[in-house]
Amino acid sequence: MSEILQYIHKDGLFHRMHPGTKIFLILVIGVLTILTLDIPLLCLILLAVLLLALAGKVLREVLQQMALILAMSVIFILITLITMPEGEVLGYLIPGGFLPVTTGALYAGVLLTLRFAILIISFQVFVITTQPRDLVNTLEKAGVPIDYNLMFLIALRFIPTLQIEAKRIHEAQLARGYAPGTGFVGRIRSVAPVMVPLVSNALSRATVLGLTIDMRGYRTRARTPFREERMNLLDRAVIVILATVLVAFLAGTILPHFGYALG
Amino acid sequence: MNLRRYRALSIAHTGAFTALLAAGSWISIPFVPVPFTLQTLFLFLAAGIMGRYAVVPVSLYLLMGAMNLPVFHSGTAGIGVFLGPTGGYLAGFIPAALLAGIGYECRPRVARYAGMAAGLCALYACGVGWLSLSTGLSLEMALLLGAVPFIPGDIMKAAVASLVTDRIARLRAGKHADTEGEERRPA
Repeated sequence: MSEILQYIHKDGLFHRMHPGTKIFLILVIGVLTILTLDIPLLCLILLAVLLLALAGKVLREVLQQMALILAMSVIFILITLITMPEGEVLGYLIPGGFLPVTTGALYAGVLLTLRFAILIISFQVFVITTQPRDLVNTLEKAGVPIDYNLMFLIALRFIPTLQIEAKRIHEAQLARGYAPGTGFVGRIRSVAPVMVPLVSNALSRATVLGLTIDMRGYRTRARTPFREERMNLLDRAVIVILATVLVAFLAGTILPHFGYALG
Repeated sequence: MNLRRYRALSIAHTGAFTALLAAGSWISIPFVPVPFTLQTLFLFLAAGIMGRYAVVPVSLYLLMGAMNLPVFHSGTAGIGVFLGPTGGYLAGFIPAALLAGIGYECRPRVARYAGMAAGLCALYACGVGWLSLSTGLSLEMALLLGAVPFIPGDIMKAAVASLVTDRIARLRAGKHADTEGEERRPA
């Protein structure tokens, strides 16, 4: 099982960038994605994000998440079909006139899916190309309290560990001949043998971690970064390009609205 | 747990529970074919172990989701999920964690169960209210769709959570007999 949302050491475009630049990049992508209501334009943004991932040499890792995104899109489209029927009726999900498939709902579902795909992919590219300590340093400089920074980082680090551990515990229990039985009661019983070791291990790990943090002098409140990241020429160029794209986009989408309002 | 005294420990526990909440929406527990998010289970576990400070990991979890990390049910993420029909349940996690946590800080079993029940009620109130508001369903309809089918599962999860919490409390009391065991023994 590959680890999800973990830093991968490579030498791509994003690995050379300053974390601040990358945060700006995902913010710009987020703004563009949320303000766009046009499906072809969203497809274009998605393509651009995938190309960026290719340039950053992390396309393979991003594509591994595609199954998840596809499953999610099916759910989104189903939800919009059920909750917001609008426009022309194309057909019915259940024969006999139940659950109409409408153009408006399909459009909204595809729109939602594209948006989520873009946002999730861009954030994933950011996380897997940024060293955790650089992330913390940058967030601290941005004014996020260090306690919350650390919680965020620990949570991010724990997610894949727990996934792998749950699988391992389940296999260990099976190897010991554990058969939880069937039915409603059996289902309750099957949760405890995996959950108890998992939560217990996670807690003892967290306890050790807490002690370690304390022993390294966390309470002295004096920290010096191991490696100072500086903005280089690439960062400045990317920021200028992004700012231009953002301004052009805002001018293209927002100004016409004002124009109509005035006219 | 005293937040000031055990600062680093609280931070580590918060991280662990946030990760458990996130993993809870992914881990497929075998022999459970019914769609089954384990989020409520971990919510109650966090409440059982961290007390009222369970609010911190739950809030952090929601924040991570809002930042587009795929931590919500079936890998969804983003602010759109909060605005979608199920957003109320996510927002309801916060009062649910608070109520269950306060309940779990009390010694008597009845108070703990009452805390969990109050937490579940708060969760359903937020969830159903927002479901009815966002989709335009009538309140009875929203209750029927958004709460009734989940009640047996959630009671089951609460029962499992209290079972697991008890066993972990016992395990930890045995493991750190010199520190925590002393506090538990009546003087």
